[in-house]
Amino acid sequence: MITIQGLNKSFGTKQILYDIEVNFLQDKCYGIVGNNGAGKSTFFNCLAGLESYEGQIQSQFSILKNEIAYLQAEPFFFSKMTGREYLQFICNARKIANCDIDKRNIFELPLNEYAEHYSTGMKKKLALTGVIIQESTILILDEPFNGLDMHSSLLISEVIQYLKSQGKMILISSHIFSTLVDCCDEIIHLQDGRFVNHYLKEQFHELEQKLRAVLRENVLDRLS
Amino acid sequence: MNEKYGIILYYFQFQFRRWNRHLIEFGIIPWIAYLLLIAAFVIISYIIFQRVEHAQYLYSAIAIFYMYSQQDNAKSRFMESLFSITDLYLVKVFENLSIAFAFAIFLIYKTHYLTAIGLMASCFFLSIKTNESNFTLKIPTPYSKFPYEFSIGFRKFYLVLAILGTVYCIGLFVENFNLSLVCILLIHFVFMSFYSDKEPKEIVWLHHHSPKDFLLYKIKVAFIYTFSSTIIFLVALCFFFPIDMKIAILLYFLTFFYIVLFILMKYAVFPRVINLPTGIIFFGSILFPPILLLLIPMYYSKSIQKLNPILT
Repeated sequence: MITIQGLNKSFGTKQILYDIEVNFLQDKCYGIVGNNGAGKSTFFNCLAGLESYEGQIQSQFSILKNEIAYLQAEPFFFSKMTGREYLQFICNARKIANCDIDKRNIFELPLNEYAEHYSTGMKKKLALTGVIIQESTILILDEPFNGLDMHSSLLISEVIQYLKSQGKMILISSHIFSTLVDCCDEIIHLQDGRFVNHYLKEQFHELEQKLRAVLRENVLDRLS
Repeated sequence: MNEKYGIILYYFQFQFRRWNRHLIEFGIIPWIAYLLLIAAFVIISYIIFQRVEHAQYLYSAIAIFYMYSQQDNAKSRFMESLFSITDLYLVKVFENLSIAFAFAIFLIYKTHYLTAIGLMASCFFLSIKTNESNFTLKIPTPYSKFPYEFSIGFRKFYLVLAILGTVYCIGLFVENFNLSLVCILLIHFVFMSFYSDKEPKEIVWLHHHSPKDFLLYKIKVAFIYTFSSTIIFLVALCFFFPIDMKIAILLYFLTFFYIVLFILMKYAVFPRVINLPTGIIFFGSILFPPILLLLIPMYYSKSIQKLNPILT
């Protein structure tokens, strides 16, 4: 379990996150929705320990970051590094012995090619393979469906379901609401740096209606 | 002025402005930096020609190394979308000539006319390389077990390493101990340069190591790969020049300390790249090696401090 209390984050004078209070349980999948700039990635970065913050993030783990595998919205790839070397690098960094890379190549990627030459979707799949290979207890997936075709999105949804069944805690952000509906047990609405509401599975429809209403109000009215 | 040359001129003016921005960010006034660079270039050139026999080969290798290190495929791809193939080729040729010109002048001053012509000609050859060939060509590397600095660095600088290896062999062939020894040391400095790229925070974060373990891991990989790559060169050098064996062994292993220092400096200023004061300290340590005994523990401690918030 992860308990977050009074989490605040600012960049200079600009505050991004305000008094975040939340508990995340093992075996559960949480979705985080919010507009661009709402603070989703900053929240994930704080949780992963990539950003400093005010407040407390507590868990049963002595070093939380070592239990987290993090798929960033825009994964970084080294130039002149093959897909296989990228995965080997992750295994070395995470001290995973006997890393059977070919067996873990679930997306059947051309691992001997330079990763920088992969298409956007293939890069996302490689990064996701890198996340899965870590066998971490907690997975943070920031926009895992961005840039993927329908088949790959469905495949990743299945992978997420499988990981959940393995007892992982999964946190996902996505702009595609339907993908969260399929995967998540709970969805949190992040607005202007605040967790404004939590929605359980039976309330997802209500959240979708709210999001649609906001969209109509903010965008469609202006268009018309 | 012809429109084509106007665009190319604009490109170089823009590069000049970018250089100045980098220098200002680095903490130095641009015109002072240019004066210092010219002075350093002349002094180092004199030292190379004073200390090394057949220095023209090594000197040309350094020039080609520098030209080669300036190649950037991402930049080339972007430029390809802006320039025609001919214009792009011309830009690359001018870029390489601007580097080679300084070296060629010194070679001419030292009456190595043929080498100077060869160096200038190499600019045209180095500019031919296209992105397309890079796209499909995957260079095999012996460093895949611990991929990152060495595997990437080897693929970037394999040509430079090949040139240094060749000059090393020429040194053995013409019985020039200094030339061969300098080549080995330069190979070590090329290896060291593998650690000069900016490393994203999330890449360091990924490691399941304590800061101390992380640094030891980086140093261990650098040591294993450097040693396994160049020990054969040292052995051959000692075999051909047994009288100078001691100095060869001493300098060979001394450069390992510089690699260690460079790695520690990188993480002491992390996530920024090594800045001017740190660079000056590093070059100062080359002039006065005993200071390594002070600098290595100092930068080790600084690195631990910088890595603590990311890795623990």
